[in-house]
Amino acid sequence: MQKIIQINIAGRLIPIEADAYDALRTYLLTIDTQFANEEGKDDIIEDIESRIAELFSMKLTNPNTCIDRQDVQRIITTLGAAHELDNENEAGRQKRMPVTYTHSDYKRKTQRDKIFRDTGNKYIGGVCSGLSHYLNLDTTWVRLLFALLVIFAGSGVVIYLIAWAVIPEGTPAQLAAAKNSKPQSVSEFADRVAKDLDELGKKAENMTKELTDWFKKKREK
Amino acid sequence: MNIDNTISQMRKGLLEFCILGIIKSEKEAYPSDILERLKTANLVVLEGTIYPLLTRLKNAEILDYQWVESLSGPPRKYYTLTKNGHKFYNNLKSTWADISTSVETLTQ
Repeated sequence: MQKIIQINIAGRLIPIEADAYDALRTYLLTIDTQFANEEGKDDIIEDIESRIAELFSMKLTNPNTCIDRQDVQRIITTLGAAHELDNENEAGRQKRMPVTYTHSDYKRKTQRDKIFRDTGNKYIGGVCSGLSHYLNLDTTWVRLLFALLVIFAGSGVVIYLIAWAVIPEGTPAQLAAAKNSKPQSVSEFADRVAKDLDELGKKAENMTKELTDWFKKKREK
Repeated sequence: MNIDNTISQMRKGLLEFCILGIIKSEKEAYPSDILERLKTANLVVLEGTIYPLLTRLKNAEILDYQWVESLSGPPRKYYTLTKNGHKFYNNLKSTWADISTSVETLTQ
């Protein structure tokens, strides 16, 4: 069962399920961030919103239906992820995501790496602020916890350094998405954390392996 | 070298030219019509990529738009070529003609 929200998008009234609405809002937010420094940002967003509204109303020809998460996912696939839309700025910036016509890059970035370091809000490496977006906690609490670990257990320093190495730095769009993706239920959240920790654990394992290999080679010489 | 990347770079450069061509032939065009024409011509693009392009062309005074009432929904933006835009398009067109002849000769 889902709650239905009525939204007005580009002048059209659209009934949409609550979680689909959240997904749509996040998508529009990432576009907003992508074009933040663009003169015609409002025009671009207006055009994209009216296309979304058009696609939605094509979907809603049948009465008593509404937009669900799948529909939102479909329009994101049709329109493209925010970073794929900006083909002009690409040449100027280094190592930008290539605009490809497949979605594998987008999926890899958004589905696997859910924890990011927030280097826009950092004391050292942005680990605590990044974790706080992920855990949906105030940054102060996470920092306090780390401080306590450093003082009493001493392991805080090691944990921090590992986290710094393992957690990727998030782009503004990814951070915006991370801040907005609120988990649905406690069990879902636990699943998510377990899965993400597993990924990071594997990454740490690989790093350790590479390091030991490197030391071995050094010693052999 | 990634073939997908090279192909998408090729397409991207030509997209602007094609969009202007569509607008010129239609006199005025609504973004969804442009997408439709691109699709029918088998030039597959991510739909979202044309909106920043249109806006930038508009800010560069190559395109202009007006709002036109629609029977099936809210008013629509119809894009037209400006005087400058016609010149710009003709320029691209002759460049393309030259390039395509050269490429044709060189890649036979």
